[in-house]
Amino acid sequence: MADERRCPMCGRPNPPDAEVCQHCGARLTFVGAEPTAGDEAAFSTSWFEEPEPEGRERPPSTDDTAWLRGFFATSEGEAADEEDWEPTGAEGEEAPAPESAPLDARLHAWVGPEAEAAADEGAAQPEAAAEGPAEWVPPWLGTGTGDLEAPQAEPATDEGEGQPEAAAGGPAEWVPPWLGTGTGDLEAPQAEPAADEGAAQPEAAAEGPAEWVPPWLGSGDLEAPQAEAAADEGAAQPEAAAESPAEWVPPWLGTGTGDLEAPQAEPAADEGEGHPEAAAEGPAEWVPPWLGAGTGDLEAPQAEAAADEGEAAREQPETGWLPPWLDQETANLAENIEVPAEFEAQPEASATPPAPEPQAAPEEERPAPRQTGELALSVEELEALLGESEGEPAAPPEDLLLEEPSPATEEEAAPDLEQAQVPEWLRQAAPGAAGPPPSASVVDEILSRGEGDEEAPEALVGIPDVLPAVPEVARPQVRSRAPLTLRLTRRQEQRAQWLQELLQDEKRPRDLGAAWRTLRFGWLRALVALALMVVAALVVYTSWGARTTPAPHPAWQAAFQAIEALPPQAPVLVVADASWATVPELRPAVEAVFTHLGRKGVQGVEISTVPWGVGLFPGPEGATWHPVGFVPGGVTLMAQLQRALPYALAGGRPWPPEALTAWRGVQGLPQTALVVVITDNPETARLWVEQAGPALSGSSGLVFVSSSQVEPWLLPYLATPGVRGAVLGVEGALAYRQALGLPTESTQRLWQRYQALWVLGGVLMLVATAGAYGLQRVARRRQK
Amino acid sequence: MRLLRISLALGVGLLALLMYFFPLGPLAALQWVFYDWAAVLVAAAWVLGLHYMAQHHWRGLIRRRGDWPARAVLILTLVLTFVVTLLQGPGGTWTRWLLEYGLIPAAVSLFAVAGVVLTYRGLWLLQHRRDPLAWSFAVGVVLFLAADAVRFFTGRPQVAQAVSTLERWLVVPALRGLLLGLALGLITTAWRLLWAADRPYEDE
Repeated sequence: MADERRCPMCGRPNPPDAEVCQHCGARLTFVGAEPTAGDEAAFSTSWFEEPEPEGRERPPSTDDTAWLRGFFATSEGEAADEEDWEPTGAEGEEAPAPESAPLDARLHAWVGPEAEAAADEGAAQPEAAAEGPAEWVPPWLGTGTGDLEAPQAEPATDEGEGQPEAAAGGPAEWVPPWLGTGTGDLEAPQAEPAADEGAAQPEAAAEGPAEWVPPWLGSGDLEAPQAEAAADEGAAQPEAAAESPAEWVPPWLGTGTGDLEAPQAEPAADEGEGHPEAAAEGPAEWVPPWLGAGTGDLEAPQAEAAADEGEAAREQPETGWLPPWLDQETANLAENIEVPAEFEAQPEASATPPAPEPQAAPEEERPAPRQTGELALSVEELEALLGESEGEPAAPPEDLLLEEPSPATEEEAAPDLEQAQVPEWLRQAAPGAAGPPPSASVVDEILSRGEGDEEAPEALVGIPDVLPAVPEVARPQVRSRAPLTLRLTRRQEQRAQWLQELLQDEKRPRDLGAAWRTLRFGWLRALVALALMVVAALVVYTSWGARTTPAPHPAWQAAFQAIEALPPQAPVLVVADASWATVPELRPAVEAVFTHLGRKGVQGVEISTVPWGVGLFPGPEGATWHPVGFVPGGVTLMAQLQRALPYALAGGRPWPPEALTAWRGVQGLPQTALVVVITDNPETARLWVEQAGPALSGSSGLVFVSSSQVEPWLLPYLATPGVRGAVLGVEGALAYRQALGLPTESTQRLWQRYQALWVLGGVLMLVATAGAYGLQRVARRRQK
Repeated sequence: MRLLRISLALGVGLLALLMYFFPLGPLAALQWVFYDWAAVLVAAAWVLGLHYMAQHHWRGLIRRRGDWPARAVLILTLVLTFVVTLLQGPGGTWTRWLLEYGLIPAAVSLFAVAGVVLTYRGLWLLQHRRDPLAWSFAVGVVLFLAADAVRFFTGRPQVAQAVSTLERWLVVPALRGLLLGLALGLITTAWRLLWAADRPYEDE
């Protein structure tokens, strides 16, 4: 996704505004990657760059410590990753993402061509040298030159000697790698050697040291670039070179180079005019071809080197296109490369071609060849640089802060400022500039010192190839796998989601004050209070001296008559489907009904269709009673009892028991004398009415012993033909007991306690309401 | 495999339905076999639930979580009830004692607490969502409490008749409508199961 920010360490996506990876803790924002305005003014390489023109945004600079990674990589015996420490591609182009590519790939991109070229040269492959110009774009600039068009060096082959003349331009184009971080899009001027006879002197190489530190970089007095080597003796002097001091400020450097057109070098193939005219014109429009990436639509110059007689080709070093600091490495690499036998036979093959000797350059000015695998920094220097990079951006020395170069100052200072203006620390940072570079162990030492300090490592934590995200050796990983694997259906997930939403809705804060404000003095609140007070007053008023039992539902009388009409030893099925919570309420009625059944001497079988109904109501005395217990099946059991009662109750075992003689001919509910259902569940009552009612419409019937809460549900079914009656609640029990002549004292006491609780509740309700209201008013007055 | 599952479920359902309407001898025996299997599976489900509940609370007890005393009491009573019932059966003396003085009082207490909670939630509902349903709940609570109070304590036939009329004209029709809706829903659900429109026996 475009708005994601991938972690350079673990590669997982993160929110675009995240600074630290949410998965591994690596820093996503490099130190100094997004400098502030003040930082930009104080740091980076702006002191040797021209200010950006208005309206053109400057690409964000990358990590200012990125150059360290190049050292770090080289110290590991690998080729330096130039892409990483190349700060930006060029103007107008986004900075490359050095951390996006794997380290090996980046190393290969940087050192691979050189090594391969060295190997090829060692094997005397002319094609490799010929392809050198095609790869003339410094490979380490690869990421920054995404759309860069490599200069098309078309070495003309003359008389079968196709040595690439452009290879001679190597020394001249040697751009200090350490400068890459600072200059970014700056490069040494390109010297295009001509291929004419006698003109093959690598003048550009001789001028290389002078270009090693870009002259214009010295003090702002920019020196003209060294033009391409003249092709013809005397005649091929680059005229533009003389004019260069005034024009040399690269126009591509000053303003936007987007619409800059590169010169089209049309080399002449004539012997006497073998110099490329473009070389003479070069300084005026001298846009390095490799800068094409930054210029976008910049056209790289078509350097068609003219070849003449092939002599120049012989004089030019074959590996001249390689930076001299790579010679040592290429030599080492070439030694380790197996050369096919057919190539070894060629005598001119040289595994270690001589590096171009910068003849005119003094020894101290000549840049030392870069020695890969080592870092030209001491421990103290590296610490100092790290400190600069970690903390506030390192401000360059004041004497190095250059003003915008002007042609006049360039002319004045160009000759002798090129060395003096190179910062000392920058020169020391150059690879191979001073002393043996520290190895990776040195870096590790420095970084290990910083582990004790809480501030030091944080600046580098998370930077690829520098430090891990955490100081531990093993990166802690968050366990993403759930401890349990739940397999949920879609419907279950929906239900879980509903439940979760319900719970979240419960926790959601609500404006409780709004509801109470509307109710505070509203008529609704007064109405509710009045109703409650009326109820409480009625309870209190009617409880004094009344002490009468309420009138039960007349259905108890039908139940009583149905049981009274039973013959002796009649088979009666009792179903106890009550719950424990309603046992105290049901027990008086159940006891009355069981007593009545006992008096009639029935043969009862008690079952329960719910597991918790077993053993709730023991059988009556005087009756033959057989508890079966829980019988599963629910509704189907009720249907089964209609036709296969013995099988449903016994499950194939012998049935009935010896004592239940009246049950021997019973095959279903219609043969039973009565079915008594004890339940507090209206659903159970309904099911019994629906399932067993039609089968009991004859001589048998249903009698319910139920709770008062079932009464409203059960009333519509009392008119069903199969239902004979119902004893409902405590009042029904009292009436039944009175009809049986049983003592009702215990039931009366229960009823009186019930009334007392009602009175107590009413009084409490009145007192609590009045007290709370009064206290509230008092508190409100005090607040006012 | 999916077709086999659906075929089995539909076959058993249709067979049970046929046996319900046509209780022939062989079919009836097969029907009871199905019922027995269902009963065994239900019993196994109960045992499994008991096992998981005991395991859950045992882990909480071992790890000494915040409510570990309650877990300890639960496991202790579970083991005690299980052992006693296993030894004496549902009608044993100690089993009935546990039922009378353990389970029933606890269940009654929970029932009473449920009444308090329902009343509180009704008032809470009235505060936070004063819609017709909330008002009907509150008005119903007050109305029937008053009616029951008057009916219980006065014992006058006029009051009882008024309460009975209120039940017949208001409560009973509402409950009857609810029952009819429930019955229609059950029928619809049964038909959907028979036609395999709903397949609770397989994952979606």
